Amino acid sequence: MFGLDLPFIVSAIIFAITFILILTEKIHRTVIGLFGAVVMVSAGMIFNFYSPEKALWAIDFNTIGLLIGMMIIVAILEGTGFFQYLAILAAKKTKGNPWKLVVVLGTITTVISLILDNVTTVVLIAPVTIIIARLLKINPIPILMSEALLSDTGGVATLVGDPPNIMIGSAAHFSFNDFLFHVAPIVMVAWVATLFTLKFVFRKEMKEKPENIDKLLAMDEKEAMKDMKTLRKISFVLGIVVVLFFLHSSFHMPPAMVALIGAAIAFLIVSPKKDPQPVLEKVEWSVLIFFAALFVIVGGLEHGGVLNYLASSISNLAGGNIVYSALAVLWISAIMSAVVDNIPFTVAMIPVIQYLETQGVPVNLLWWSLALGVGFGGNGTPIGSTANVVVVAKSEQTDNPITFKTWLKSGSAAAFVTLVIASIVIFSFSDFFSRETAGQRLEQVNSHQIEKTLDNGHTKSFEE
Amino acid sequence: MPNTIKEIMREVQTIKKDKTLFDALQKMIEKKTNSLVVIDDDERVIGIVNTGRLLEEIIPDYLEDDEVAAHFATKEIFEEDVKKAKDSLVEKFMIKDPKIIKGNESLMKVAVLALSNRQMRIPVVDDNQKLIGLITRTELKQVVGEILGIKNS
Repeated sequence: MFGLDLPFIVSAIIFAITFILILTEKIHRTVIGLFGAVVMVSAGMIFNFYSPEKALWAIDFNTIGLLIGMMIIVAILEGTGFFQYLAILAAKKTKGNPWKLVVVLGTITTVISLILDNVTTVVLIAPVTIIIARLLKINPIPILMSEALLSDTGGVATLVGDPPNIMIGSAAHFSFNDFLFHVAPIVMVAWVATLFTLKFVFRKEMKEKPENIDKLLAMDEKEAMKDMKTLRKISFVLGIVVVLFFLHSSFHMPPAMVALIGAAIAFLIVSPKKDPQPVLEKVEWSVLIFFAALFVIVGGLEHGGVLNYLASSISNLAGGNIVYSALAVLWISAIMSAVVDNIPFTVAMIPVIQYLETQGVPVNLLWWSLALGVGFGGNGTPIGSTANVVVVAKSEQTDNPITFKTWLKSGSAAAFVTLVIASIVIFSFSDFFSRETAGQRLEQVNSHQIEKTLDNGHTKSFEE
Repeated sequence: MPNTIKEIMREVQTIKKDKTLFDALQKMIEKKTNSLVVIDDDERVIGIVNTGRLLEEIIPDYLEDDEVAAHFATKEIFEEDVKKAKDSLVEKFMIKDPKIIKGNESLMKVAVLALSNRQMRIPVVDDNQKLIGLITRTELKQVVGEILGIKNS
């Protein structure tokens, strides 16, 4: 039924070339992504399978809006010195004990990463960590590894913790609370497992006797706080945002709306008279354009008929056993995420799973497996996530740089352990993870209402 | 009134690329200058070393954009990093391929060059690209002063 017609071949070729160039990193991903997107749309207009309008609808503006909102909030927060304040305060409580430092600094990173961007978190925490370790004359590697691994792990727990979750949540209509109920318990176990993996791998370093404990205790964390006034205001905004995230599905409010409400209030109360341009420059537009371009490229692939073809062959292969398919999704996405950028993979997987849904497959188990796989898999290698790359780079000019080998024996081990945990949970509780979520039920009520009010208006013409 | 760069340039202090940060610093202190021009064996300009570059080489990357973390680095940590950078080669931390200017070119051109790349230190070469002098902020200031008739006491 899927003839190898021209749209099929053309869209497949454009997709393949673009993705190979993105994944080999010969050309910057945003540059080649944007180029691939305009080529896909142009080819779609020539061969009559895709158009600028369809491309616009392929972009998930919930993902983009959510990221813009959260990036604005983080941009304001990062200048206040709050993260460093927390890190020093916590480090002092450990009295320099290496294992306690691994636990405490790793956990702070996890908690911040639940809501805020993982990369910003480690960018701010790693330097002060290195200084603390140098002061104590202990090896910073175990602590830095803990921060890198747990920033990614923490990100998996929530809808807004990392970009793949945002995209998956948006496509599957999972709410913030759905993520908390389904993924956060697994992340709690993974968090403990990661810490103990590190304790075992670095058992020698854990025995190091810290020196200069008095100097650590003499550090005044309040000196890290550069802008108390802004911090108070932005904490208030973050509080509102978190409360709204808990409630967003009951209000039928997409997560992007929550983040943008937060950003709007932040601008209004932090710097109402200033041009927000300097803050907006810290928003990672390159990342956002890359994401939008990926949506457009994969949209072209969908309209070219390639994704349907792929999805139907996948569902045949899986032979109907949804649990095995879920485990396959988990491990394949983990390996992909460890080796290459996990975003292109996630964006490509989403329409495949959506297609399976139209074929009557209970796909929720697959969605959760995808989220866990790309999330935990990212810890598999030093290049598996941007947070990993940042931490490795920061360690380069210390006396103990994190080498590929160090990562293999600690990070990859932790990733493997957490993936095994995820597999066991998926396998044992497959019914729970297959069930329709509360967020999805609310979403359906919502969409029925919209359909009623619009009768045969706009929405239909875009469905086709 | 001076007409060309050759007439206002100053004597230049040089260093070879295989010397160390220690050597460069020693020469800068001894000659009371904030920069050295790096030359190859044919006396061609291949780089510039200045105080800023020395500091950049000393400060570890992870502290470069982080005032907060740097605030908590003790005197001992700074001393350690200074000593660690001692044997870094000039080649590694010099400004590579700096803008240069020929001795017979116009004053306006050197003024424009000095502003455009914020380097404010332009090595002067002859027709064979050999280093013959240096223009710094001081020479530019003096030539402007001379034109306006400000006496150099």
